[in-house]
Amino acid sequence: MQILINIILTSFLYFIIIISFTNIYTPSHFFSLTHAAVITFGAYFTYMLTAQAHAPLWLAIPGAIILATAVGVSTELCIYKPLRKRGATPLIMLIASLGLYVVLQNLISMLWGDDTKSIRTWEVKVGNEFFGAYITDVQIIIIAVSLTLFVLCLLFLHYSRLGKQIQAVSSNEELANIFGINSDRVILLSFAIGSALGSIAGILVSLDTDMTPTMGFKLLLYGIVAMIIGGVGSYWGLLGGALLLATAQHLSAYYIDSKWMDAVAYIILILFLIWKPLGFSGRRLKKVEI
Amino acid sequence: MKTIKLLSIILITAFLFTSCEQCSNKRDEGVIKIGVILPLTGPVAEPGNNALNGIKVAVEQFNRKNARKIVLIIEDSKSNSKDGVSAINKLIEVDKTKIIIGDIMSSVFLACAPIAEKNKVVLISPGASNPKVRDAGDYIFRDYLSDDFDGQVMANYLFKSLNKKNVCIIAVNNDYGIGVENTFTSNFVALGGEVSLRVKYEQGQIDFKSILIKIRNAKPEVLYIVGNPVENGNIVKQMKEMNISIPITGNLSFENEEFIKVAKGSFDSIIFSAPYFDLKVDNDLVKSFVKDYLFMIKKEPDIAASLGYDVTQILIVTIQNSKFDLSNVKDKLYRIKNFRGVTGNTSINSKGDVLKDVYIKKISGNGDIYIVKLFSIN
Repeated sequence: MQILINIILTSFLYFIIIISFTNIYTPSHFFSLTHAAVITFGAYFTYMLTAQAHAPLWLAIPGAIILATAVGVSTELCIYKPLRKRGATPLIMLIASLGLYVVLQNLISMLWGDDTKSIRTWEVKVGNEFFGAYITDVQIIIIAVSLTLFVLCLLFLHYSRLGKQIQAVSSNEELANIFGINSDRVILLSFAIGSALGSIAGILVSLDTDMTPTMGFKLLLYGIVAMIIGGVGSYWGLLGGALLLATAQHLSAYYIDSKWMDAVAYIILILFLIWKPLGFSGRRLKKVEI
Repeated sequence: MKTIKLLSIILITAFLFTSCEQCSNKRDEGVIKIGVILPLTGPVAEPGNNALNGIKVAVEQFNRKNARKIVLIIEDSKSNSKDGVSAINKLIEVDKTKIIIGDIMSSVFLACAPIAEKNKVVLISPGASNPKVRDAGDYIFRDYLSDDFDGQVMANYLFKSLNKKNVCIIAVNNDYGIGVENTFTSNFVALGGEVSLRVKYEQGQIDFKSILIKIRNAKPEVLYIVGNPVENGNIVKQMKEMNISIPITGNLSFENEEFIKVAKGSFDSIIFSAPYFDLKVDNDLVKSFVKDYLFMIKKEPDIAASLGYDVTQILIVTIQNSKFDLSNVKDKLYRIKNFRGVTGNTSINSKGDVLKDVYIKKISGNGDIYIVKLFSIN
């Protein structure tokens, strides 16, 4: 039972990261690795506002989300948009985003130091018992928040005007422009939504297990693996990808050794790339580059 | 015309440099040069700087009393082997030092050791704990206990003093973790105990819940954790959250602010082994060190500072024993027995490795640390 709870918890965590990342990936068609820094910024801004500026948590969390979103949006405005205008390929954008990630991560190290920071002020206590397993309050919040975000994103993408525009730009940017959709605006907005979701993920993780300047990158890598397993294009496929990855990792840690968790994740990735490159959902995208 | 001007400038500069070197050489006569390589920047900068402070205090105390002065030539290893190697090359080639106080990081120290050995330069570390240092060469010494010693001490303490027969081990998957784990296991099994489960985790791992389920199912009497402070903190915290109440033991990494920051209030007490270090002891040597350190550095010394101080004291004693003949220092270092330092009794064995006193300590949930027992080298 405890394993089951751990798997569910991890997969929901991965899941928020995937939906935040696909939000950026689908319209812009490149792997924005700076997203890892945005996740980390979410956590560190919360730390800044609570521990350093002494704001209450309910105020600090929205504040941190806004600040981290601003970071994400400004990367799009200052770096990616000019690059796109000059006809940069997704590979160039990927490398640019990697460089930018390194800069931002070092900025975090410089501002707050490399040691572990914690926004936890409450006492560590035994979790709530649930059929013989234990789950803490924060972990329940993580699951609840991800479920809510999942439903909201589904509704948003399928029923709102902007959601449909994002889908249009994802499938064919030029055609969308012809139909009068401003693709730059759509990409900017999807960056904003993705960054906000990413920073929420970062904050949730830091509430559960504290923060370090490199926390975002590892989370994002798992997110990307789960995204490829799940297949871009359907949220249900992505949920499946997150569940599969989390299950494989936890079972390998339990039955083999926890040093194999990463290896198992990447073995699954390679297997999927060979036999099912489009992932679970198997939907073909118009453009799948990199 | 221009070329002549340029040439003359180069010539004059070259002349100035060479003449300067000559005059400085002349001035250096009678001065004992000791090279220092420590991580003054980078992730290990804090203990590096503290060790340097300890070294400075020892040198200051010596220079105050003696006509012949010690001069420190300080180089920054920047917490990595590449810069450490450049530093030792510079100290040997340019500064011609015969004695170097070497890095506190095992990786940097082991990278520097072959260079010191080749040039017949004494290299002594105030902090390198890797077991490989023992066989690194004739000229290579340290004033810090080898990692595997921790495992040996704890195995004996758990079996003999606490009468525990069944242990599980969680170790970090690197040289250090595996080394301690293996020594602990072989010692504990030799005594007649059982190690029912050994699990490893990756550095930087955050989620230990799967490991902890395994530990819970193995039902050991006691858990031995060899890891890094932050990971230890997360393990202990998640044990509390999962309501696992197996007594925890470990090593020095529990005496650390980072560990307390993560795990505060999530445990009753943890027993661990740590190098001898007690500034409250009633002892003139310790008192004079603390007094001078507070005066010079304006803060309390920690263990890194005390080790830096002790290493320098050991060198000073050896230099005096060898009548200031620096080529003799290596042989005299092997004869250091029962040296009384701030960090306890110290002897150097025939391998250039050190034997020191060890404490068994206890840390309580709010971060207070108590001494439980002293394991003396005698």
